[in-house]
Amino acid sequence: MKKISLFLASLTLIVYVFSCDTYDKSVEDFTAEGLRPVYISMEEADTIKSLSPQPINQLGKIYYKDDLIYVGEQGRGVHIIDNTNPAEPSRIGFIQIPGNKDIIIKGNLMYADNFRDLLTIDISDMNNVIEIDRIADVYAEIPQSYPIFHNGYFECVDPSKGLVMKWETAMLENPACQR
Amino acid sequence: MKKICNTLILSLLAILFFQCSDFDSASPASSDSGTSGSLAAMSIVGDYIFTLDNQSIKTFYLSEPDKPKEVGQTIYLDFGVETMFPYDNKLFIGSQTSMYILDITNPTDISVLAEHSHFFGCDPVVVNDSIAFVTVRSAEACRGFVETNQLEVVDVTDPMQPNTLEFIDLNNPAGLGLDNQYLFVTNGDAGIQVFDVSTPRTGIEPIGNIPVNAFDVIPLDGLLIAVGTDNLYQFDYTDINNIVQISSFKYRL
Repeated sequence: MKKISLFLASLTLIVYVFSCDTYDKSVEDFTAEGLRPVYISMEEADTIKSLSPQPINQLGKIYYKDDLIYVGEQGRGVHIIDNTNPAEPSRIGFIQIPGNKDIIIKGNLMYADNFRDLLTIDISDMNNVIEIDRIADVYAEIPQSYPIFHNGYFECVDPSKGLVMKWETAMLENPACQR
Repeated sequence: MKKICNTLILSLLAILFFQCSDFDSASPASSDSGTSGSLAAMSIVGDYIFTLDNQSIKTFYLSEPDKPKEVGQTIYLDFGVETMFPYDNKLFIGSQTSMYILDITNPTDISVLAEHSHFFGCDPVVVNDSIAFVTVRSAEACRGFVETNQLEVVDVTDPMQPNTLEFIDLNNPAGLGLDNQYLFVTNGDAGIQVFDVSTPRTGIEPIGNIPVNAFDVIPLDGLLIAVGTDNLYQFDYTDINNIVQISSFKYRL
């Protein structure tokens, strides 16, 4: 009886240790660098407006016209920098254009992409820009469920949080999505 | 657009000072548009806008500038087209695998003249007379698999048959800008490389280095604007042998 008890106890211990080991492995936390979606609400996604100078995070493309430097803020819009005196450039404002990558300007009109649409924006008054035309679906659909041109981990997209405005590099905990 | 504007500015100067000009941009340059960096994927040529998404080009006519109208046909290219540079009735398109040359003489009926393939990598293009300069790099963000970091010099005298003249090894080339005989190539930590490209067929010559980390540049007739991750740099290159920093504007405070 004693032997059997000891055997059972040993067996239990072995099973316990073994299962513990397996359990640990399956939930082992890990952190990896990858991309994280930055969302914008559906209501804001097509709202074009002038804002006060905004913090600069992830810069995109540059455009120069009439002593103003336009620097794209990836996915959010365009910083406007007054360069009348190149020795002392100064931030004078920001134009919110969600999902934007490119702008060009002719006269007082700015042409810009806003996710899939091509916009015409009147910028005569930088402090109060006005969307005057919108052509829908000029640009191919951007995959919403994964970051294009990326190999590696990314945070899975939750569509209930809105549209993916851009992807940013981040340390991800237990990322479940990968390409 | 950059070349057109540079050409225009120089043409105006040339007309002012010499009463003649042999600078010739056949594109109907528009005096009231600006200058793009080399990573641009949208262009204005005369009264036409060209847009580029990952795989196609569309044309819009600005007969009424406040109401662009789509004209012509969508031109589909291989997936991964990224940058666009208009020059002399042509559009030079940089993709992840190729440089495309399109004829835009008739903007409502544009066509592909050539596809010049190379290794995987991102690749903005700038063009001067009959030479195209292309950066090819294998940055992770470009889904590049081949370790390539080069500046490619391509003879495009015959736009139907582009011909590579030279590859120059660099560290991490990205944006680039051209002002007549001077070419500025951003090269990551290694700074901005300055080349004299006046004799492209016998080799372009490195003549200087600006020690800042930038990813795109706009040369504006003596003023170089360089955009980096943390700073916006400006330089006076009126004397190419003595490039002077005018300002370094730190975005992040």
